[in-house]
Amino acid sequence: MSTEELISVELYCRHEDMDLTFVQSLADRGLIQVVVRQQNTYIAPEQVTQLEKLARMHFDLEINLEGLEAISHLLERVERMQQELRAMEERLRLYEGEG
Amino acid sequence: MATDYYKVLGVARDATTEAIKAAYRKLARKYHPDLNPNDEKAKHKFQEINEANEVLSDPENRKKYDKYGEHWKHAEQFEAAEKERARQGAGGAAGFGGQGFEGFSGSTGQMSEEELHDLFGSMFGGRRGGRQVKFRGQDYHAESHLELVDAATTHKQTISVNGKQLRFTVPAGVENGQTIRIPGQGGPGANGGPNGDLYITFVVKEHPRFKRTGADLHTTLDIDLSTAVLGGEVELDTLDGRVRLKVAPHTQNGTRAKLKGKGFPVYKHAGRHGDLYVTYQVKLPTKLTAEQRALFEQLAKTSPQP
Repeated sequence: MSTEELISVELYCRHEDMDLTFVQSLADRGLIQVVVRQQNTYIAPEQVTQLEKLARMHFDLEINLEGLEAISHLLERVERMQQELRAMEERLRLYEGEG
Repeated sequence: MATDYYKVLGVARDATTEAIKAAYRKLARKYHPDLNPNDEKAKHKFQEINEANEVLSDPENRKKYDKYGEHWKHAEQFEAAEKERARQGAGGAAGFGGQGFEGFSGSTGQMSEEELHDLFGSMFGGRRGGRQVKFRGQDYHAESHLELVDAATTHKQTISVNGKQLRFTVPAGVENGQTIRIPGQGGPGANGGPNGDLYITFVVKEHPRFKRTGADLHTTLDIDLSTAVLGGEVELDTLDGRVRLKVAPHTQNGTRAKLKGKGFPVYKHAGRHGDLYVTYQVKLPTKLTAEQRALFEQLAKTSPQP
């Protein structure tokens, strides 16, 4: 992805009135992916939704970084399970159709 | 019936601001939409909690709510109107103190709750009391119904959202029940808050011939007895046209064949496809000519008994 397609984290934080270290902490914990180019940190547009979500949980619900880590992990599991459930429903339909 | 904000937050009417804040935070952590993806009930509950918190966490608003119940937003206008009525000598003796709004219903010579609703609704509808808070707009949810073959190709669709035509791309391979988010296309924000998002959930209809599991497709194909026994070639419809298929000799009823790459496109992986599984259904003859019957009898004599 070229730098033009990325969003500068510094600019984003200034615009959103967000502490830069918060974004860095999320990146350090692997909760979001950032790209470092020529000593500047960027974020891909598709990562912004995840960043917004984590920021809401942290600032609105006062969930600390450790909590965010645990929640992100559990949410991923929930999402995987929802996908599996959908797939199982599809498979069930397949066998019901044979009956 | 009006919502009791104290009940919503699970606090007593004399709860301290700190207790209200703590109750709100506890419930918000439980029902926040970010923590409950695709859960409409949680979302509705969260809206209710938010509304209750907005009122009860602000001492001024809380005072008004305690006095006027669900009509708290119109407290100032209500008091001004009552003062005016008192000044004109038409207000009666009943005061407002501590009675709450319901205390006025049906009181002779005073406005009914419904009348007040109409009055304030038309005069001051939508005006918020207290401080100006930025609110993110409401998220909108829509469904897009697709035929299975439509879900197999990337294409554009147009939907109408609050009278606005919105064109969006349906990527090939979307699954039944899958939701995509279109940022900023939900309800408008209030007081300078951002717009909500639009969530589109795809409902992929069942196909009469193909069943889908992920990127794989499943179908059945009838073959006659002689093809099953002796082998041969049959034709089969796939999503991208007819193909010829070799049937091996001695194919049993229910045998499954795999056609690699003839299944459904893999979502967001251009060029990749799942497989197509074909289950053979051997059709036995229901009518035999005399000659066929004789041949079967001859066959029966040569076949070993099970």
